[in-house]
Amino acid sequence: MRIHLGPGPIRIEKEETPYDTFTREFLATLPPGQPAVVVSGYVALAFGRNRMTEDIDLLLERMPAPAFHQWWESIQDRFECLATARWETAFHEYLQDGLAVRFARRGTLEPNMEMKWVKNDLDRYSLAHRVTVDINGHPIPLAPLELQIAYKLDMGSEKDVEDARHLLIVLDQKLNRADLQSFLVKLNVPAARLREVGL
Amino acid sequence: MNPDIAALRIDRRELDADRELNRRQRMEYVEFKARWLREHAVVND
Repeated sequence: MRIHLGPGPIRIEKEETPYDTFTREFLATLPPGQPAVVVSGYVALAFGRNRMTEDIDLLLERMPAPAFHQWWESIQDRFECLATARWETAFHEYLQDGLAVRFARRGTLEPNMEMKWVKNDLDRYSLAHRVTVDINGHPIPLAPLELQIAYKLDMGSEKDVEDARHLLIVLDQKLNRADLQSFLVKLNVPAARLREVGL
Repeated sequence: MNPDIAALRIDRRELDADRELNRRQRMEYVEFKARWLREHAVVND
């Protein structure tokens, strides 16, 4: 695996994992121009963290119902929603209600894409400031790295802190330390947790 | 501070409520997965 930090966009050359393949294939189904950003665990996995996960988290700008319906129909031969077979239910009873829906390759369970609309300022920041990382020639929109690290540290589980530690070490030279510090302050991450990762 | 970051409104209660919602959805998925595996992968032999 090689991670080219720049100058310029980050570029990763790696042996593709099942998570990379699934993420790339699912993102390719989205309507052209649909704002989307992959957040949470997959960000660390994209940069080489080696752990299992069941799902990949995707935030999307809200789609109008007709656009969502059209997209839903377009993926039916390859992907299925695990929550419901009806697009109206997925749209009105899940997404519009702030809930996530999961999509897997038809007939399979995992990995699956846990998808929801942006709903708060942090989500909107992630979407507006997404970082397009080139993974084996495919552009993948990832959450801003500094926010991702701070958010993981705020979550605070062992897995989350390890994800943050991984990103801090791998991306050391690329991170905007002032932005990272600002997110840590905004989220009020406890000092003890920062010490755990050497911050 | 970066003005875009300074302008972020982070409501701790809202954030915690959202995480609780995620946790509940995750528990529902754990149950869904177990049922899915029972239907697709469990063999009584």
